[in-house]
Amino acid sequence: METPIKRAFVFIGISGSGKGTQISRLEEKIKEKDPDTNHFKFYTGDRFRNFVQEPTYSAELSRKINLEGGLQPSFIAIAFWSEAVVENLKGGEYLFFDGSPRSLSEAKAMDSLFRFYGVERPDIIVLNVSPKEATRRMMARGRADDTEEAIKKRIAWYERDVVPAISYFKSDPYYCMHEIDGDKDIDAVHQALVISVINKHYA
Amino acid sequence: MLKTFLFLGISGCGKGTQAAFAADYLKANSPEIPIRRLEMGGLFREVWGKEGNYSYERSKAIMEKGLLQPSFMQVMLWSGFFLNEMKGTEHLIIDGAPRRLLDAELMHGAFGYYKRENPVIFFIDIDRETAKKRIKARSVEQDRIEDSYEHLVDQRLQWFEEEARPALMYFRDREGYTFVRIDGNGTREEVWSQIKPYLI
Repeated sequence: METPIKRAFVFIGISGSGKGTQISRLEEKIKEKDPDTNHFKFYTGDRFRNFVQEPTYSAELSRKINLEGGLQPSFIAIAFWSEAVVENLKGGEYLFFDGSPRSLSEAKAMDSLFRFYGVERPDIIVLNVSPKEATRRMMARGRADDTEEAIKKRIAWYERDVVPAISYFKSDPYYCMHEIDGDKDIDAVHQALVISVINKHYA
Repeated sequence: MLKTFLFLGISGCGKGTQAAFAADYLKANSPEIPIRRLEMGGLFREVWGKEGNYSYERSKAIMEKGLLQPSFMQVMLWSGFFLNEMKGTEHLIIDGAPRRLLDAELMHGAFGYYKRENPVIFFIDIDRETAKKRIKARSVEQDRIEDSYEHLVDQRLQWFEEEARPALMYFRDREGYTFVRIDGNGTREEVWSQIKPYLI
Protein backbone atom coordinates (compact mmCIF):
# COMPACT_ATOMS: atom_id res chain seq x y z
CA MET A 1 0.00 0.00 0.00
CA GLU A 2 1.04 3.56 -0.07
CA THR A 3 3.87 5.06 1.88
CA PRO A 4 3.29 8.49 3.36
CA ILE A 5 5.76 11.33 2.87
CA LYS A 6 8.12 11.19 5.86
CA ARG A 7 8.55 14.89 6.40
CA ALA A 8 8.65 18.16 4.52
CA PHE A 9 11.04 21.03 5.25
CA VAL A 10 10.48 24.45 3.76
CA PHE A 11 13.45 26.80 4.06
CA ILE A 12 12.65 30.48 3.91
CA GLY A 13 15.14 33.31 4.17
CA ILE A 14 16.61 36.14 2.18
CA SER A 15 19.50 35.43 -0.19
CA GLY A 16 22.58 35.06 1.92
CA SER A 17 20.67 33.58 4.84
CA GLY A 18 22.38 30.22 4.31
CA LYS A 19 19.39 28.14 3.23
CA GLY A 20 21.36 25.92 0.87
CA THR A 21 24.11 25.22 3.41
CA GLN A 22 21.63 24.49 6.17
CA ILE A 23 19.63 22.11 3.98
CA SER A 24 22.81 20.14 3.23
CA ARG A 25 23.66 19.96 6.92
CA LEU A 26 20.17 18.85 7.87
CA GLU A 27 20.22 16.24 5.13
CA GLU A 28 23.48 14.80 6.44
CA LYS A 29 22.00 14.63 9.92
CA ILE A 30 18.89 12.83 8.66
CA LYS A 31 20.98 10.41 6.60
CA GLU A 32 22.89 9.38 9.72
CA LYS A 33 19.68 8.31 11.42
CA ASP A 34 17.74 7.12 8.40
CA PRO A 35 20.11 6.26 5.56
CA ASP A 36 17.66 4.39 3.35
CA THR A 37 14.99 7.01 2.79
CA ASN A 38 15.10 9.09 -0.37
CA HIS A 39 15.36 12.86 -0.31
CA PHE A 40 13.58 15.13 -2.74
CA LYS A 41 15.08 18.62 -3.00
CA PHE A 42 13.93 21.59 -4.96
CA TYR A 43 15.84 24.85 -5.45
CA THR A 44 13.55 27.43 -7.00
CA GLY A 45 16.43 29.80 -7.78
CA ASP A 46 18.34 27.15 -9.75
CA ARG A 47 15.27 26.22 -11.72
CA PHE A 48 14.71 29.85 -12.69
CA ARG A 49 18.36 30.23 -13.70
CA ASN A 50 18.00 27.23 -16.04
CA PHE A 51 14.65 28.38 -17.31
CA VAL A 52 15.87 31.77 -18.55
CA GLN A 53 18.44 29.98 -20.74
CA GLU A 54 15.71 28.18 -22.67
CA PRO A 55 14.87 29.28 -26.21
CA THR A 56 11.19 29.94 -25.55
CA TYR A 57 8.99 33.00 -25.61
CA SER A 58 8.25 32.64 -21.89
CA ALA A 59 11.96 32.45 -21.05
CA GLU A 60 12.50 35.60 -23.09
CA LEU A 61 9.84 37.39 -21.04
CA SER A 62 11.47 36.25 -17.82
CA ARG A 63 14.93 37.33 -19.01
CA LYS A 64 13.51 40.78 -19.56
CA ILE A 65 12.03 40.83 -16.06
CA ASN A 66 15.43 39.88 -14.66
CA LEU A 67 17.18 42.62 -16.61
CA GLU A 68 14.72 45.18 -15.35
CA GLY A 69 15.13 43.90 -11.80
CA GLY A 70 11.46 42.90 -11.59
CA LEU A 71 9.80 39.97 -9.87
CA GLN A 72 8.90 36.73 -11.61
CA PRO A 73 5.20 35.83 -11.42
CA SER A 74 4.09 33.26 -8.86
CA PHE A 75 2.45 30.93 -11.35
CA ILE A 76 5.83 30.02 -12.84
CA ALA A 77 7.41 29.15 -9.51
CA ILE A 78 4.38 27.01 -8.66
CA ALA A 79 4.59 25.25 -12.02
CA PHE A 80 8.28 24.51 -11.41
CA TRP A 81 8.05 22.89 -8.00
CA SER A 82 4.75 21.18 -8.82
CA GLU A 83 6.18 19.55 -11.92
CA ALA A 84 9.30 18.45 -10.09
CA VAL A 85 7.26 16.92 -7.27
CA VAL A 86 4.75 15.25 -9.57
CA GLU A 87 7.48 13.82 -11.82
CA ASN A 88 9.68 12.51 -9.04
CA LEU A 89 7.73 11.59 -5.95
CA LYS A 90 7.22 7.89 -5.29
CA GLY A 91 5.96 8.19 -1.74
CA GLY A 92 7.93 7.87 1.50
CA GLU A 93 10.50 10.62 0.90
CA TYR A 94 11.82 13.56 2.87
CA LEU A 95 11.05 16.80 1.03
CA PHE A 96 13.19 19.95 1.06
CA PHE A 97 12.22 23.26 -0.52
CA ASP A 98 14.71 26.08 -0.91
CA GLY A 99 13.54 29.47 -2.12
CA SER A 100 9.80 28.85 -2.21
CA PRO A 101 7.30 30.14 -1.38
CA ARG A 102 8.14 33.72 -2.30
CA SER A 103 4.61 35.09 -2.09
CA LEU A 104 1.34 34.52 -0.27
CA SER A 105 -0.30 32.87 -3.28
CA GLU A 106 2.66 30.54 -3.67
CA ALA A 107 2.34 29.62 0.02
CA LYS A 108 -1.34 28.79 -0.49
CA ALA A 109 -0.55 26.59 -3.48
CA MET A 110 2.14 24.82 -1.47
CA ASP A 111 -0.36 24.27 1.32
CA SER A 112 -2.58 22.42 -1.18
CA LEU A 113 0.38 20.23 -2.09
CA PHE A 114 1.16 19.19 1.49
CA ARG A 115 -2.45 18.32 2.17
CA PHE A 116 -2.78 16.42 -1.10
CA TYR A 117 0.13 14.14 -0.16
CA GLY A 118 -1.02 13.88 3.44
CA VAL A 119 2.20 15.35 4.85
CA GLU A 120 1.96 15.56 8.62
CA ARG A 121 2.86 18.94 10.06
CA PRO A 122 5.30 20.35 7.49
CA ASP A 123 8.29 22.14 9.04
CA ILE A 124 8.68 25.78 8.06
CA ILE A 125 12.22 26.91 8.79
CA VAL A 126 12.69 30.66 8.72
CA LEU A 127 16.31 31.77 8.77
CA ASN A 128 16.18 35.31 10.10
CA VAL A 129 19.17 37.34 9.04
CA SER A 130 19.54 41.05 9.74
CA PRO A 131 19.71 43.28 6.66
CA LYS A 132 23.25 44.24 7.67
CA GLU A 133 24.49 40.65 7.85
CA ALA A 134 22.61 39.66 4.66
CA THR A 135 24.25 42.56 2.80
CA ARG A 136 27.68 41.63 4.13
CA ARG A 137 27.31 38.00 3.01
CA MET A 138 25.95 38.85 -0.42
CA MET A 139 28.74 41.35 -1.06
CA ALA A 140 31.30 38.79 0.08
CA ARG A 141 30.20 36.08 -2.38
CA GLY A 142 30.83 38.49 -5.25
CA ARG A 143 28.10 37.36 -7.66
CA ALA A 144 27.49 39.68 -10.61
CA ASP A 145 23.89 40.36 -9.62
CA ASP A 146 24.87 41.27 -6.04
CA THR A 147 25.17 45.04 -6.41
CA GLU A 148 24.35 47.19 -3.41
CA GLU A 149 21.20 48.50 -5.05
CA ALA A 150 20.01 45.03 -6.05
CA ILE A 151 20.56 43.78 -2.50
CA LYS A 152 18.51 46.64 -1.05
CA LYS A 153 15.73 45.82 -3.45
CA ARG A 154 15.81 42.14 -2.50
CA ILE A 155 15.51 42.99 1.19
CA ALA A 156 12.54 45.30 0.53
CA TRP A 157 10.87 42.66 -1.62
CA TYR A 158 11.37 40.02 1.07
CA GLU A 159 9.60 42.23 3.60
CA ARG A 160 6.73 42.95 1.24
CA ASP A 161 6.07 39.55 -0.38
CA VAL A 162 7.75 36.81 1.62
CA VAL A 163 6.83 37.91 5.14
CA PRO A 164 3.07 37.53 4.37
CA ALA A 165 3.79 33.96 3.24
CA ILE A 166 5.49 33.29 6.58
CA SER A 167 2.53 34.82 8.46
CA TYR A 168 0.19 32.55 6.53
CA PHE A 169 2.01 29.43 7.77
CA LYS A 170 2.30 30.86 11.27
CA SER A 171 -1.44 31.36 11.56
CA ASP A 172 -2.16 27.71 10.81
CA PRO A 173 -1.37 25.11 13.51
CA TYR A 174 -0.98 22.51 10.76
CA TYR A 175 2.53 23.89 10.34
CA CYS A 176 5.46 23.47 12.66
CA MET A 177 7.33 26.80 12.71
CA HIS A 178 11.03 27.18 13.41
CA GLU A 179 12.33 30.71 13.55
CA ILE A 180 16.08 30.55 13.71
CA ASP A 181 18.60 33.33 14.27
CA GLY A 182 20.57 33.10 11.04
CA ASP A 183 23.15 35.76 11.91
CA LYS A 184 25.19 33.18 13.80
CA ASP A 185 27.83 30.96 12.22
CA ILE A 186 26.92 27.85 10.24
CA ASP A 187 27.43 25.36 13.09
CA ALA A 188 25.44 27.39 15.59
CA VAL A 189 22.56 27.82 13.17
CA HIS A 190 22.57 24.11 12.38
CA GLN A 191 22.59 23.25 16.07
CA ALA A 192 19.67 25.58 16.81
CA LEU A 193 17.75 24.21 13.86
CA VAL A 194 18.20 20.57 14.81
CA ILE A 195 17.16 21.24 18.39
CA SER A 196 14.07 23.11 17.27
CA VAL A 197 13.10 20.45 14.74
CA ILE A 198 13.47 17.66 17.28
CA ASN A 199 11.85 19.48 20.20
CA LYS A 200 8.88 20.99 18.51
CA HIS A 201 8.02 18.04 16.39
CA TYR A 202 7.96 15.52 19.14
CA ALA A 203 6.68 17.81 21.88
CA MET B 1 -5.65 42.19 -32.02
CA LEU B 2 -4.93 38.99 -30.15
CA LYS B 3 -8.02 37.75 -28.33
CA THR B 4 -8.27 36.00 -25.00
CA PHE B 5 -11.52 34.21 -24.17
CA LEU B 6 -12.41 32.22 -21.08
CA PHE B 7 -15.44 29.95 -20.96
CA LEU B 8 -16.59 29.11 -17.46
CA GLY B 9 -19.60 27.48 -15.89
CA ILE B 10 -20.73 24.31 -14.16
CA SER B 11 -20.28 20.87 -15.73
CA GLY B 12 -22.73 20.45 -18.56
CA CYS B 13 -23.08 24.17 -19.29
CA GLY B 14 -21.65 23.72 -22.77
CA LYS B 15 -18.40 25.62 -22.28
CA GLY B 16 -16.37 23.15 -24.34
CA THR B 17 -18.85 23.30 -27.22
CA GLN B 18 -18.91 27.09 -27.22
CA ALA B 19 -15.11 27.29 -26.96
CA ALA B 20 -14.91 25.08 -30.06
CA PHE B 21 -17.37 27.35 -31.89
CA ALA B 22 -15.24 30.34 -30.93
CA ALA B 23 -12.11 28.62 -32.24
CA ASP B 24 -13.81 27.85 -35.57
CA TYR B 25 -15.06 31.38 -35.84
CA LEU B 26 -11.64 32.94 -35.20
CA LYS B 27 -10.01 30.50 -37.61
CA ALA B 28 -12.40 31.59 -40.35
CA ASN B 29 -12.11 35.30 -39.64
CA SER B 30 -8.42 35.69 -38.86
CA PRO B 31 -6.78 32.68 -40.53
CA GLU B 32 -3.33 34.26 -40.22
CA ILE B 33 -3.43 34.17 -36.40
CA PRO B 34 -2.86 30.79 -34.75
CA ILE B 35 -5.18 29.64 -31.98
CA ARG B 36 -4.20 27.93 -28.75
CA ARG B 37 -6.91 26.12 -26.81
CA LEU B 38 -6.54 25.20 -23.19
CA GLU B 39 -9.10 22.65 -21.99
CA MET B 40 -8.74 22.06 -18.30
CA GLY B 41 -10.93 18.96 -18.24
CA GLY B 42 -8.94 17.46 -21.09
CA LEU B 43 -5.63 18.12 -19.32
CA PHE B 44 -6.85 16.29 -16.23
CA ARG B 45 -8.25 13.36 -18.22
CA GLU B 46 -4.88 13.08 -19.94
CA VAL B 47 -2.90 12.79 -16.71
CA TRP B 48 -5.43 10.40 -15.15
CA GLY B 49 -4.71 8.12 -18.10
CA LYS B 50 -1.00 7.94 -17.22
CA GLU B 51 -0.21 4.82 -15.29
CA GLY B 52 2.45 4.37 -12.67
CA ASN B 53 2.69 7.99 -11.56
CA TYR B 54 2.22 8.28 -7.80
CA SER B 55 0.75 11.79 -7.96
CA TYR B 56 -1.60 11.29 -10.88
CA GLU B 57 -2.94 8.14 -9.30
CA ARG B 58 -3.70 10.12 -6.16
CA SER B 59 -5.37 12.76 -8.29
CA LYS B 60 -7.49 10.14 -10.00
CA ALA B 61 -8.51 8.64 -6.66
CA ILE B 62 -9.63 12.10 -5.57
CA MET B 63 -11.77 12.45 -8.67
CA GLU B 64 -13.31 9.04 -8.07
CA LYS B 65 -14.27 10.10 -4.57
CA GLY B 66 -15.79 13.25 -6.00
CA LEU B 67 -13.32 15.50 -4.18
CA LEU B 68 -11.81 18.69 -5.56
CA GLN B 69 -8.42 18.60 -7.22
CA PRO B 70 -5.67 20.45 -5.30
CA SER B 71 -4.87 23.99 -6.40
CA PHE B 72 -1.22 23.28 -7.14
CA MET B 73 -2.08 20.62 -9.71
CA GLN B 74 -4.61 22.81 -11.45
CA VAL B 75 -2.10 25.65 -11.61
CA MET B 76 0.63 23.26 -12.74
CA LEU B 77 -1.45 22.02 -15.66
CA TRP B 78 -2.46 25.38 -17.07
CA SER B 79 0.93 26.93 -16.32
CA GLY B 80 2.68 24.11 -18.14
CA PHE B 81 0.43 24.81 -21.11
CA PHE B 82 1.25 28.53 -21.01
CA LEU B 83 4.98 28.02 -20.63
CA ASN B 84 5.16 25.56 -23.50
CA GLU B 85 2.56 26.84 -25.94
CA MET B 86 2.57 30.61 -25.79
CA LYS B 87 4.48 32.43 -28.52
CA GLY B 88 2.95 35.87 -28.10
CA THR B 89 1.29 35.72 -31.51
CA GLU B 90 -1.86 33.71 -30.86
CA HIS B 91 -5.50 33.92 -29.88
CA LEU B 92 -6.07 32.13 -26.61
CA ILE B 93 -9.22 30.19 -25.74
CA ILE B 94 -9.53 28.65 -22.28
CA ASP B 95 -12.30 26.54 -20.89
CA GLY B 96 -12.72 25.13 -17.42
CA ALA B 97 -10.05 27.22 -15.68
CA PRO B 98 -9.66 28.93 -13.29
CA ARG B 99 -11.69 26.92 -10.84
CA ARG B 100 -10.92 28.72 -7.61
CA LEU B 101 -10.06 32.15 -6.31
CA LEU B 102 -6.37 31.37 -5.85
CA ASP B 103 -6.31 29.95 -9.36
CA ALA B 104 -7.91 33.16 -10.70
CA GLU B 105 -5.42 35.41 -8.91
CA LEU B 106 -2.53 33.43 -10.34
CA MET B 107 -3.99 33.42 -13.83
CA HIS B 108 -4.40 37.18 -13.56
CA GLY B 109 -0.64 37.26 -12.93
CA ALA B 110 -0.10 35.12 -16.02
CA PHE B 111 -2.24 37.40 -18.18
CA GLY B 112 -0.12 40.34 -17.03
CA TYR B 113 3.09 38.44 -17.75
CA TYR B 114 1.96 37.53 -21.30
CA LYS B 115 0.44 41.01 -21.77
CA ARG B 116 -2.96 39.62 -22.74
CA GLU B 117 -5.19 42.64 -23.19
CA ASN B 118 -8.78 42.71 -22.10
CA PRO B 119 -9.61 39.03 -21.65
CA VAL B 120 -13.31 38.28 -22.05
CA ILE B 121 -14.91 35.95 -19.49
CA PHE B 122 -18.05 34.13 -20.62
CA PHE B 123 -19.92 32.79 -17.65
CA ILE B 124 -22.38 30.31 -19.11
CA ASP B 125 -25.12 30.09 -16.55
CA ILE B 126 -27.54 27.14 -16.62
CA ASP B 127 -30.08 25.52 -14.32
CA ARG B 128 -28.86 22.62 -12.25
CA GLU B 129 -31.51 20.27 -13.57
CA THR B 130 -30.54 21.03 -17.17
CA ALA B 131 -26.90 20.48 -16.26
CA LYS B 132 -27.65 17.11 -14.71
CA LYS B 133 -29.61 15.94 -17.75
CA ARG B 134 -26.79 16.95 -20.08
CA ILE B 135 -24.11 15.30 -17.98
CA LYS B 136 -26.10 12.09 -17.92
CA ALA B 137 -26.53 12.15 -21.68
CA ARG B 138 -22.86 12.80 -22.45
CA SER B 139 -21.54 10.22 -20.01
CA VAL B 140 -22.98 7.70 -22.45
CA GLU B 141 -21.99 9.49 -25.67
CA GLN B 142 -18.48 10.52 -24.74
CA ASP B 143 -15.76 8.80 -22.85
CA ARG B 144 -15.62 11.13 -19.86
CA ILE B 145 -14.50 9.23 -16.84
CA GLU B 146 -15.58 11.87 -14.32
CA ASP B 147 -19.15 11.90 -15.68
CA SER B 148 -19.65 8.21 -15.12
CA TYR B 149 -19.83 8.72 -11.35
CA GLU B 150 -23.40 9.86 -11.32
CA HIS B 151 -23.81 10.12 -7.57
CA LEU B 152 -21.04 12.70 -7.50
CA VAL B 153 -22.58 15.11 -9.96
CA ASP B 154 -24.52 17.00 -7.28
CA GLN B 155 -21.35 17.41 -5.31
CA ARG B 156 -19.52 18.86 -8.31
CA LEU B 157 -22.32 21.30 -8.92
CA GLN B 158 -22.23 22.32 -5.28
CA TRP B 159 -18.50 22.98 -5.44
CA PHE B 160 -18.93 25.21 -8.36
CA GLU B 161 -21.00 27.47 -6.16
CA GLU B 162 -18.50 27.38 -3.32
CA GLU B 163 -15.16 27.43 -5.11
CA ALA B 164 -15.55 28.53 -8.71
CA ARG B 165 -18.02 31.33 -8.20
CA PRO B 166 -15.51 33.44 -6.21
CA ALA B 167 -13.11 33.05 -9.15
CA LEU B 168 -15.78 34.39 -11.50
CA MET B 169 -16.50 37.31 -9.19
CA TYR B 170 -12.79 38.10 -9.10
CA PHE B 171 -12.80 38.79 -12.84
CA ARG B 172 -16.19 40.48 -12.81
CA ASP B 173 -14.98 43.05 -10.29
CA ARG B 174 -11.58 43.69 -11.81
CA GLU B 175 -10.61 46.34 -14.30
CA GLY B 176 -9.15 45.16 -17.58
CA TYR B 177 -11.60 42.29 -18.05
CA THR B 178 -14.92 42.03 -19.83
CA PHE B 179 -17.32 39.82 -17.93
CA VAL B 180 -20.38 38.50 -19.74
CA ARG B 181 -23.11 36.34 -18.28
CA ILE B 182 -24.64 34.10 -20.91
CA ASP B 183 -27.93 32.25 -20.54
CA GLY B 184 -26.85 28.72 -21.34
CA ASN B 185 -30.18 26.93 -21.06
CA GLY B 186 -31.10 27.08 -24.76
CA THR B 187 -29.79 25.16 -27.74
CA ARG B 188 -26.12 25.46 -28.61
CA GLU B 189 -27.02 27.76 -31.49
CA GLU B 190 -29.04 30.02 -29.20
CA VAL B 191 -26.17 30.20 -26.77
CA TRP B 192 -23.65 30.87 -29.52
CA SER B 193 -25.74 33.76 -30.84
CA GLN B 194 -25.22 35.51 -27.49
CA ILE B 195 -21.47 34.91 -27.55
CA LYS B 196 -20.64 35.68 -31.16
CA PRO B 197 -21.08 39.49 -30.98
CA TYR B 198 -18.16 39.63 -28.50
CA LEU B 199 -15.78 37.90 -30.86
CA ILE B 200 -15.89 40.51 -33.56
